[in-house]
Amino acid sequence: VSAGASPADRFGAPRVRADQRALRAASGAHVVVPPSRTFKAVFVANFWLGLAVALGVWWLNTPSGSVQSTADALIEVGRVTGLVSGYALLVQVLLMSRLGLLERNVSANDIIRWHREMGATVIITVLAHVAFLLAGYAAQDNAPIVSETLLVLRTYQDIVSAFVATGILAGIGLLAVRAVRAIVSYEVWHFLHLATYAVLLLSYGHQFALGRDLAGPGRAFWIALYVAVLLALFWGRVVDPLRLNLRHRLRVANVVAEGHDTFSIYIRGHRLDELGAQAGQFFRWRFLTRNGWWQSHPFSLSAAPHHAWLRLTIKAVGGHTERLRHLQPGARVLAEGPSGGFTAERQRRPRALLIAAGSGIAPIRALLEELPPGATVIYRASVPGDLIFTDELDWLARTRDTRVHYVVGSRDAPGPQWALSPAGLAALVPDVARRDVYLCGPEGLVSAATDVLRTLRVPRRHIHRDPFEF
Amino acid sequence: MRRVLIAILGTALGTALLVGAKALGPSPQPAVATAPLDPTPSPTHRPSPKASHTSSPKATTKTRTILGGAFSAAGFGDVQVRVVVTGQHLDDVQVVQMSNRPLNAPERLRQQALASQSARLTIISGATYTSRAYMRSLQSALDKR
Repeated sequence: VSAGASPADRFGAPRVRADQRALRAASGAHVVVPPSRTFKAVFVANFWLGLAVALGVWWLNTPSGSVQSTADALIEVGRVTGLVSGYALLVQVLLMSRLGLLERNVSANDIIRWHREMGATVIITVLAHVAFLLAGYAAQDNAPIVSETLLVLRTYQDIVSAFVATGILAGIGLLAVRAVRAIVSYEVWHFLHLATYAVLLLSYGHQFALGRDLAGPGRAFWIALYVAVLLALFWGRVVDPLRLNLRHRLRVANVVAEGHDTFSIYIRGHRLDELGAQAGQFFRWRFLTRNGWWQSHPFSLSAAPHHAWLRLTIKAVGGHTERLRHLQPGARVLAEGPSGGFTAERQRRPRALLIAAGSGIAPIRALLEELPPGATVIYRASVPGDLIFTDELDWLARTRDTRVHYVVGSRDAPGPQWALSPAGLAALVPDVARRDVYLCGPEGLVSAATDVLRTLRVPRRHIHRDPFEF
Repeated sequence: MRRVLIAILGTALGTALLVGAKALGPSPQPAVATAPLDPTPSPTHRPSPKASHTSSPKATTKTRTILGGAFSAAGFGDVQVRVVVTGQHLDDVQVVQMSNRPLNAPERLRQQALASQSARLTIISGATYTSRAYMRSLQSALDKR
């Protein structure tokens, strides 16, 4: 499959390497805070507080008993859904701001889940906002809805751009439907997502010009909200990446084949020991090549960060990843990160079990270097040719007392079925209930494994999942 | 997917409850009562210096044009109207300034004013601040008849 005993060999770095954690602790360059439950709780509480303020302004502006007719009710529903969608859109942009505080304190899993829920809420409430207000105004004027819509488009300030924004949002919403998502290329999907910024730009005008609850006392709240989100966006998307890339000046050092469709990219740069990354974390990588510069993708480190190089491992699945295989040494790389809380610091028990499938092996492989010796790995693949890092896992087995179980075969084969059943898992890892479990692989496998672990009485707080589908 | 559904249903339910709560309780006095028309505007809503009689108040049967004060529509700019009166009769209301004109508000408010011959108008939902400022400016003009 692949040659060389350790990544250090391939890159020509010294075979004997210092313990990564000791090295970084000694440099004192950073303090990594593990994903904090407190931060998450505060963030969630603030989310609800903000929503309460937005709706509270509406509540105070709407006299009790003022909703008398159908038209009144339709208009008020239109107002409330408008406030909710405006708020959810800002939260959505904040979630995607790549602000380090969020990226490292909230797991990528949670961010993606919130993003999905918030996205659905934005789209549904915007559509409701438009529909209810137009119906309400039409009812108030006793006019047909079409002519009322034309009237609104003609006479309202900044309303045409708001309609355009609604159209874009509806398009993005359509893309989120799985069946549609499957037939659209990543590139199209990516650019439509970028259009969310246009939605923000196109819609804020009508919010401030026409929104009753954004005038008067509510105005300060909304301005503060916009300023905070835009600052977070600027910090996370511009200041932080600029700082990281000016400081470390990353370049491709080498591209090495790992398996028939998998390869590793070694990255070199300045002062990498001050990067502050941990095994299990990911960066978003942008390779400055002629046709790849415009897209950035998250890839986990597949080896614990080294002072001279970083490694990421990629499975060629699409046009972009296929082209990355042919990267030339010296190509410039821009990175954003580190992100994610799938790290050894999450560990609560002395030993760990790691379950990996497919390219989920990359962060698991890296974590093995930073977790204490004595870990067990269950590595799932459908055919032997898909297994990578086998010699590195052998090396870890020797040097870090790691036990590796390869579970190879199709999903329905008896071997894999047994290995990932409660009985099988208990036989392979008798002390599973006393271990931390790190899971990384396709969503189906991860959730199935979680169920089995719960059956085996592994506490939920000891199960650490990494989102594999970005 | 289930959580997405919960989020959407939660939003729908919450909205229905909020709006439903506002439908309960006694019907408020006509909308004007919630926005009392103060003939002597508060200092922040002082009429602009331009507000003045454009013709003599003495002529009671002549058709005159009177400029109302300019009133702030809280964040939507100022609203100022001019009235055309014959004696005490209100013939027409013309908008001098109104930067934000939602819902065909100028025409709808004008119709109401001509029908009621007063500045006691129903606030247009969706143009609350604009309607209030319009009524104040109209009232200030009518007061100078």
